[in-house]
Amino acid sequence: MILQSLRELAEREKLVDDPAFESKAVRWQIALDADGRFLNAYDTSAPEQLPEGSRKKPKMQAKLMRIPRRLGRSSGVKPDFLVDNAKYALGFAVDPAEAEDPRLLQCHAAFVELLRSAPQDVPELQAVFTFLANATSREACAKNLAEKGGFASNDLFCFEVAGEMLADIEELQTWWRTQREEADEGSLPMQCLVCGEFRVSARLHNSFQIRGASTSGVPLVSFNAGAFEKYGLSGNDNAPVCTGCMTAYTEALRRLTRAQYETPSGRKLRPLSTVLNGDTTAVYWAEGQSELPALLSAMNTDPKSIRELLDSPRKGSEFLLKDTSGFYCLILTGAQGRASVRRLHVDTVAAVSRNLLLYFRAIQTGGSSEHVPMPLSALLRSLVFKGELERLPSDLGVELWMTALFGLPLSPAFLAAVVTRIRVEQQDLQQGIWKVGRQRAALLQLYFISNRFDCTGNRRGENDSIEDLRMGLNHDIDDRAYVFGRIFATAERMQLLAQSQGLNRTLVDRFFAMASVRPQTVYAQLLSQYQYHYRKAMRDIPGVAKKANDLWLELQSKLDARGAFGKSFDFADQARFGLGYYHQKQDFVDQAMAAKAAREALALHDAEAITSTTDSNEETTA
Amino acid sequence: MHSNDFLVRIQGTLACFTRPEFSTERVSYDLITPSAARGVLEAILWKPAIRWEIRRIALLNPVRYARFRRNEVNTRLSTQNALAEARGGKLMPDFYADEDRAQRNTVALRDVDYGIVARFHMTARAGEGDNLRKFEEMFERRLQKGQQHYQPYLGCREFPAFVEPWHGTGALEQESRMLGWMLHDIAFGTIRGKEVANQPRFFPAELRRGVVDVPAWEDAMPANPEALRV
Repeated sequence: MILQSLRELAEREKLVDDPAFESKAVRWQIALDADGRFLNAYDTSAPEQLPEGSRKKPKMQAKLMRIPRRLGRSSGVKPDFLVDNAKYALGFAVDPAEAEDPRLLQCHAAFVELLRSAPQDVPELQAVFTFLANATSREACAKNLAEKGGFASNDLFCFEVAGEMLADIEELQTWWRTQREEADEGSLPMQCLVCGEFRVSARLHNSFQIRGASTSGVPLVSFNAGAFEKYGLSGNDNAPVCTGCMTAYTEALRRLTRAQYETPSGRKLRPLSTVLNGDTTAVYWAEGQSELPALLSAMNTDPKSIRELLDSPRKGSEFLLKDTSGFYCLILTGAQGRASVRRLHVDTVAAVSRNLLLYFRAIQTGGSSEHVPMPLSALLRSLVFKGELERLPSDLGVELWMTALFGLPLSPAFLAAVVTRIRVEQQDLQQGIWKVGRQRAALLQLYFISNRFDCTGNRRGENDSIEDLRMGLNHDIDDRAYVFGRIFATAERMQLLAQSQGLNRTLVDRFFAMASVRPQTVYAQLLSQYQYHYRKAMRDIPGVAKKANDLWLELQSKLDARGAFGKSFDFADQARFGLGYYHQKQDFVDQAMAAKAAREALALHDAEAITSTTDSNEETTA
Repeated sequence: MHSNDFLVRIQGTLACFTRPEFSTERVSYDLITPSAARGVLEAILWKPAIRWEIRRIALLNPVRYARFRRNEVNTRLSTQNALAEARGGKLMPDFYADEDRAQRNTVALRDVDYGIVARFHMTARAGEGDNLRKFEEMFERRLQKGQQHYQPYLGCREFPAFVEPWHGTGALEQESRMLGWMLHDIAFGTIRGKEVANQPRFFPAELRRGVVDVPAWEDAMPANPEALRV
């Protein structure tokens, strides 16, 4: 189904017009004259075009060219036709120490031999032979390349003779096409599992580049060990896919994953993929002309644009939320020999749009930056030490993605990962590291909402809509863990009022981890600390301290009404504790911001009143 | 000549009906393939005189996935060596799984529940004393008593299947979608050149109101008779 849909994507976007050729980034262009004398080596790379306003440093990207389709090689010596890396095309090694390596000579000889099997009456081809046979010209070329900063081992090289690209010469193209067709002959047809027709199956599947795999690319379908083979079939006959379908689905995968992709007609396409961690990538596409897949590629960079479009009355409500065309998602992990499928999911554009709206609502945590939703990568980074995405277990990334797009409930294992991270995190306010920061609070809320609770962990009604979801601090909740979280935040505030900012070790550093798991063990200490801080604060700032104490007493009465704590909090309780703490803290911030805004408004009003009084006095005087 | 239709319910906590294209890093089809269902029925009753035909597959539980990784070996046991040892020849060399293993991903199904409608045909190997009613009764008896030749399984031997008679209701009527080309079965013993080869056969599966109608095996045969001689 997925391969079939990928093939349909390739057909719809006209990604393959000729299975013998492909569009590929070729960095180096070796220019020769008609007699095969070396002229220059041009570096075709240029800075990538980034969206306006992007602060990312642009990467250098080589020029896309239409070249004979590369066959892919995992081991052994196997040259590509006309365009290949330095080792094959020129016999040059990146490391000068490898210059005399017999394998290097073997690779280059194989490249030349393949050129010799092509029609020899092409003068441009003869010029290339002359160049390759001439040690002086090759030396000049090597020197020229070194002056330009050298080349990488996977950089591709092509030849240009007297202004004409070798890969564009029609006779050579025709010969290459015939070669590819002949390679398929001799095998008996099998039923293709993508199109259902009886055709010769592809011996090797083309590779594509994906995170986690080798840089030269890996195939999606491959059989490299005896344990994978069944029923006496060998290699890719175990999964018969005809060459046409194979070329189409791999081309579609390349189109989805490559940073820059150009169709045979010259149309440039943006990738439709999102990186979930060090080795896992989600790729997605839709059946029709929906804008949704292109939008989703901004989940890590500009999630605001997605939410705004979904919220917009015309494009969002009229089109995306009513679009019943299919939406496909494939989550791939790159490994040494192949890309492995972690999840595949099919749904409609309308369902995915609805789920995304719920996701954006669920990750709203209040606060001043509320109008900008958090990027998916920021949420994922909050789950790992120092925010290093490479350390993130791929299951967590996959699960969050599936919840955001397909509305699947987050698992208890995911919740365990969040609360464990909260517990072990060492708070460092100078570096902006919080125990329960905005991202982790958003993940806790998302866990509850995806499991049909509200954002504080209360069961919500079956028919409640997204708009009915009440976000942020909920005064009405008397759940013990949530209230205890609020009490903890109030105690922390009282400490700040008593001892001001810049403490080496706060109540959070001392008690949070234990309070979230075994509240009873720290409760007495927390009370005595609170009393001490309260007395001190009352001496210094009695007004503010009393207000905070009123809240403390209110919360205490709620807690007392619920009776004694149990032995320990389970993961869901720990999540409610974390949310109670975060929501209460956020409420203090919101109150402070509101008070500040009110003061500023009052000051502005007073200033305007003084100005108008002065003006009227001046007018009277005049 | 075929038997009456039998209604069988197949359940299990884990299942993996591996797609051929993703059989190295396993990904399951969305629901049980006809060949896997045939294997389950053959565990209850199989004789050379009969050939099972799966006619319909009903989805009784929503499709749910589970993903895990396992250490699996890369090489296969040599059949020739095993046969040689069985015949009293050279002993099989020792095999240490921990020296020849790789971690492989599996995207399996969990909590599966299917209703199967199937019947059997008499084959050319049926003897004089064989008749349809005899095997029908044998199957009914064995299904009721829970008798099995071997433990039926859901795609992989490590995922056992629980089999019981089905009353024919409970298909998820809200589930309708195309499932793409699905494995029907393997055409065993196909002559390919000079060698005897086996070939997979696929059919376009469509889930309609929770039920997949499986085309007859003869209809899933190649459209290109020149390509294969069975």
